[in-house]
Amino acid sequence: MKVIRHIKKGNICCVSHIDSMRVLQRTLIRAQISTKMSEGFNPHPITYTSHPLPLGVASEEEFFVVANEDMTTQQVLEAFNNNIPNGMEATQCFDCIKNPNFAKNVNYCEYFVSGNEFFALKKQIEEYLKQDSLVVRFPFKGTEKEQDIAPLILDVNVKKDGIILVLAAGNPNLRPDRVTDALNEKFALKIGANDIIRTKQLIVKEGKTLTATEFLQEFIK
Amino acid sequence: MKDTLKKILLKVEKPARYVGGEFNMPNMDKPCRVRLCLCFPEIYEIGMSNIGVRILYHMLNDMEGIVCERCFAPFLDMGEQLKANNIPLFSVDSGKSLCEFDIVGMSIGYELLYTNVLYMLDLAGIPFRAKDRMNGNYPILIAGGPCVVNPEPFAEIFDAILIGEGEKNLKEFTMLYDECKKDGLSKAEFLEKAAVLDGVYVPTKVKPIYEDKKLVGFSESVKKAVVQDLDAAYFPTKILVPNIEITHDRAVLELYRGCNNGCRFCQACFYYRPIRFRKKDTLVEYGKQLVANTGYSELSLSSLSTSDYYALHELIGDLKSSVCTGDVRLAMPSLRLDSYKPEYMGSGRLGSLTFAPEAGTQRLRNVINKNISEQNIENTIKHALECGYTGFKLYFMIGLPTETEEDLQGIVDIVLMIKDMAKVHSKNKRPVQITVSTSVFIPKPLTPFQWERQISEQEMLEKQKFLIDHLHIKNVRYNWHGAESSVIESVFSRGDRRLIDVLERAYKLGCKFDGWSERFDMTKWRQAFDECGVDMNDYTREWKEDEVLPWDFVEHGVSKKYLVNERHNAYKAQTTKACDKSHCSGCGANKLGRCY
Repeated sequence: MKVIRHIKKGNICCVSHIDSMRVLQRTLIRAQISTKMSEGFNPHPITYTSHPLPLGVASEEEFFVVANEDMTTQQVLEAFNNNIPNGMEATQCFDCIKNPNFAKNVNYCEYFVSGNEFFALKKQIEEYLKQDSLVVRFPFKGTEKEQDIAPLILDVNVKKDGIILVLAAGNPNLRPDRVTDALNEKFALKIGANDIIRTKQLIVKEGKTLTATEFLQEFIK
Repeated sequence: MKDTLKKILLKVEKPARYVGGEFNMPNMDKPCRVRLCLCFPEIYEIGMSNIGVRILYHMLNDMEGIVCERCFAPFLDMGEQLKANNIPLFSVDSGKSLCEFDIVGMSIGYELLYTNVLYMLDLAGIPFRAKDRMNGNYPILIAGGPCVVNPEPFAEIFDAILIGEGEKNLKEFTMLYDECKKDGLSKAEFLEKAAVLDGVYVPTKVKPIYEDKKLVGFSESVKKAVVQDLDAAYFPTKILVPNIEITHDRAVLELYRGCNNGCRFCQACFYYRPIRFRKKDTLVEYGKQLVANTGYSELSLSSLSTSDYYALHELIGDLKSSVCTGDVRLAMPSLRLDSYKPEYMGSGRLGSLTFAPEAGTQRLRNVINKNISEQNIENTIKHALECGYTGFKLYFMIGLPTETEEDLQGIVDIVLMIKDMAKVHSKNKRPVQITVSTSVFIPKPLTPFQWERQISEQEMLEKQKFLIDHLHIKNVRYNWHGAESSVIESVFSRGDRRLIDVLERAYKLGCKFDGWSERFDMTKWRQAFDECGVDMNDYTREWKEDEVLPWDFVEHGVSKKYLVNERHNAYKAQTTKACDKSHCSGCGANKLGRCY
């Protein structure tokens, strides 16, 4: 099992999660990275990805797991990078004994919202997002839904060049753009999804918070 | 990318339509002397599926010193955002606005795209008419694609219209522009030189001559450009792989051009003649490269009548053994009924089988020269049922010349026959699903039926109602093409230069994306015709055989005499034998290039 750590940056952030999956699968075929196939009516390569990234949001750290056993990590890395569209290049490849199942195990994600206009509002933004309850409304399948986002915000840190947010991921999940929309409304800001980048995926194990790479260590062959 | 653009992209549906970045994108930063933008007046998913755009885009980018980019019609949400934010329409490859290009080319696929051409020009800030662009820093605007068979309705928009095959005329046009730009020639001087190239129509050079509002001739003629050796012609194998799902999301092999059947309603059949093939081995090699370079898991075959490819059996065998193995599926296009063989089935799962009998009775099929018999239909359906197919899609036309109610009943009879046969021959437990689709006959230029009248809207609705009532059968679905949009298609397909005012007016009234049934608004079109004082019936009526037709100045190869003769044969329900290596029907297309 090969775990490919890759980025998603630039124009390709406009490609949705489901389309990105197709891009990744076609990359495997072009790169001739053999993959175990599903046995259904329409066989397709068995692959796993990490949490879906909202449209427009970039990422430093995405994971793509491929059921491949006949290539070295170096070969996979090279073949993948020669065949992936710009902006989704792999940075590392790990040979693992099984699928680390990021979709299930990741508990939090760290995001960075770039912009230097936030620092002047540091106190207000941090106080606003650290309230006990913060109910936001958002459009959902033609209607409007409410969500209390406060319990899902783990950390907020406003820096000179942007905001670091640590948000719940998985179940329950909090999209970063929902937080920035709340900030836009409250402070009349203009943060778009394209100002956000996912920087880390975090896993809580036995009371300790691990980065995805640390978590991967126990799976590496 | 500019920040404003980044922001608006997240407000529109499928922003990936507008940013490019596909795998196999050519190098846009290479040193370049001429920069072109190929536009397709439909959304990205449809435009990217067009094999012509694909071929020309890669061909131009493979030329030294030439960069070619793409632009598609932004969907309505994006169009509104561009206008609201004052951003001119831009290419998907580098984000340059259309005015920054030397040449902007529009590929026009069918008549209902005409308003989208204006929509794109409007968003780009380019004046609609060539005469209004003479004094300004605008790109040279050219058109190509199947609609240029009769370029007259949009002639005044473009500086030049490229008639025929782009591998020849677009290449020569671009090379000439390169030279003229180096020599510092003006736009007018360049167009003067370009007008002598094969397949280059400069509307200011060719004047239609009217007497008492009646077209009586033209000042000059233009010869269609034809690629002589199709096998050696450019065909890209390292094609763009879109990041989002497009309409035809697969690798495509173009087998041949032209068609030997000579169905009398079919424009493509005559326009793409002479009949020229790509060799089987060339295609197999292209297939291998396409699959390896794209990662597509589906390969399909494209031509006007795949069944008539000279070595279809061998080609399918070779593709199945060397390209479409494992996870790669061979998708077969619709086949002529009499040619169907079980081994022609695509690999992979059994989908539904598509056939186009076009008319319900043998008499009408003889009139339109669709040389398939009742027996062919029966045999094919029987084979297909025995192979396990449970879905059939049947295409017919209504409003064909000489059509009667008996012919419509014939459509229903074919459906009932399939249902009866399914009870006996079907190998599958699932019920057989039949989808019947009808389109309305449109008298297209360059066909033996180019003089025919189009049936009125009322007649269309009556015929559709007959089929709706009679095809109300379990597991049978009936789809039909809108009557109103068929009238507009017909008017513009046989239109002349008077229609440019109507087109502009219709666009200003809000007509765009007319090919989308939910967007088409006949009230606005009627208003546009009324306001411009143009009568639609002038274009849908029956024309006399001795009348000068708006497209008569184009030498398409196929002679008018041949078309007249074919029309007369149609009225006698006499068929014309399909051409082959040993038999030439004498249409005249081989004056421009060798058939077979």
